[in-house]
Amino acid sequence: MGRRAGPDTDTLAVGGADSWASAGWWVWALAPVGVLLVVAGLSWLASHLRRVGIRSVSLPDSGEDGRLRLRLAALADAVAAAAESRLATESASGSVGSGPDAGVVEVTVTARHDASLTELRRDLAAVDAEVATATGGAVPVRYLVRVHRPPRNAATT
Amino acid sequence: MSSTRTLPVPATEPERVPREERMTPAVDAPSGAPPAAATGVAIALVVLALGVIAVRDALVPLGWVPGPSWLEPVAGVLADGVGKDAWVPVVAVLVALLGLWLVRRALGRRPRTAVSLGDGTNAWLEPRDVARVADLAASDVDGVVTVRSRAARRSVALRVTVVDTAADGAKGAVQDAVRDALDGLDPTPRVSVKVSTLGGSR
Repeated sequence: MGRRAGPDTDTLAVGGADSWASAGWWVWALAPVGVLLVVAGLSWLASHLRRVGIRSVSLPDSGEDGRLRLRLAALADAVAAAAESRLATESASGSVGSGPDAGVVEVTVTARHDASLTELRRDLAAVDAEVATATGGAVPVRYLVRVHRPPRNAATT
Repeated sequence: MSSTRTLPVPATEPERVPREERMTPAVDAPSGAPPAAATGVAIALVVLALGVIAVRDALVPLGWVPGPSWLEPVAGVLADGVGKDAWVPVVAVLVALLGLWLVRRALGRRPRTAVSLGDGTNAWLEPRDVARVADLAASDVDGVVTVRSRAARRSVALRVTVVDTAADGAKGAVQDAVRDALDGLDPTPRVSVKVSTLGGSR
C-alpha cells in the first residue's frame, strides 16, 4: 500500500493492484490462497459441528490387577430406567453428553402431571443416591425435568 | 450443600447417610451455545466463500471456468483508492464498533437456560416447564377458570380468569399456590399475577 504522488496525495490506494489480474503469477498465487481459505473455512465449520465425547469411564476400584470400565451409554439407560420407576415420574430417557458436557450422563425426566416439585426432588435424590453408590461417585449425572403442558381451560371452578 | 443434612429420601430407603456421600459429582447448569458460536460460523462461511471465489478466479484465466474475473473489479477499486470522503471515517467507526462487538461476543459466557430444582440436586427445569408447574398450581385454585403463564429464569407471570364470585382474594390465593408449588427452585422466581373476571378485567 502506498500514497500516490501529485494531485492524488490524499488518496489511499494499492498501487498497481489493477495490473495484478493480468500478471502471470496471479493464477499461481491465487489458487493456493483460495485452496487454503477453503480448507480453513471447512475445518472451522467442522470444529463447530464436531462434538468430542467420552464413551466409558474407569471406576474407582480399578487398579494394577485390572480395570473396571463403565460404559456411559449403558449407565444412562439404567439411570433413566431407575428414574422412570419412581412415583413422581412418567417417563425418562438417558444420553451421554458431548463437547463441554463430555463424560456427563444426561437424563431427561418427564414428571407425572400431578407430581409436586418436592416429590420430584425426593425421587431424583433417591435415584442419584443409587447411581452414586453404584458408580462410587465417579460419574456426574444431570437431570432435566420436563412438565407436560397443562390442558387449556382445564382449571377448576 | 450442608454436610449435616440428609437426603430427602422416602422412609423405605434402607439407610440414611450424609447427603454429600450419596450424591453424584456436581455438574454445571444447562447452558445455551456460547455467543461466539454464531459469529464463528458466520466468519467461517465468509472465509469459505472467499476461498471459493479465489479458486474460481484462478481457474478463469486457464479457461477452466467461463465468465469474467470477479476479483479484477475489486483490484481496480483498490488501485483507484479512496480519498478524503465523508463516508470514510463513518465506515472506519462502524468497522471499529463491529470489531468491539465481536470481541465482546468472543468473551461472552454461555447463557444459563434453566432453573435448579434446588436442595443440591443436579436437576434443572427450563423456564417453560416452570411456567407449566405454575399453570397447574394456579388451575387448582378455587374459582380459577383459565390460566396463561410464562416464565423466565427469575420470574413467572400469570394471567388468570376467575368467576365473579371468586374475584376477591383470587390474586393472593393464586400467588400463594404458585409460590408453594415453586418452592425450593434456585433462583426463586418472582411471581406476578393479573386477575380478570369472566365479565371483565379487574
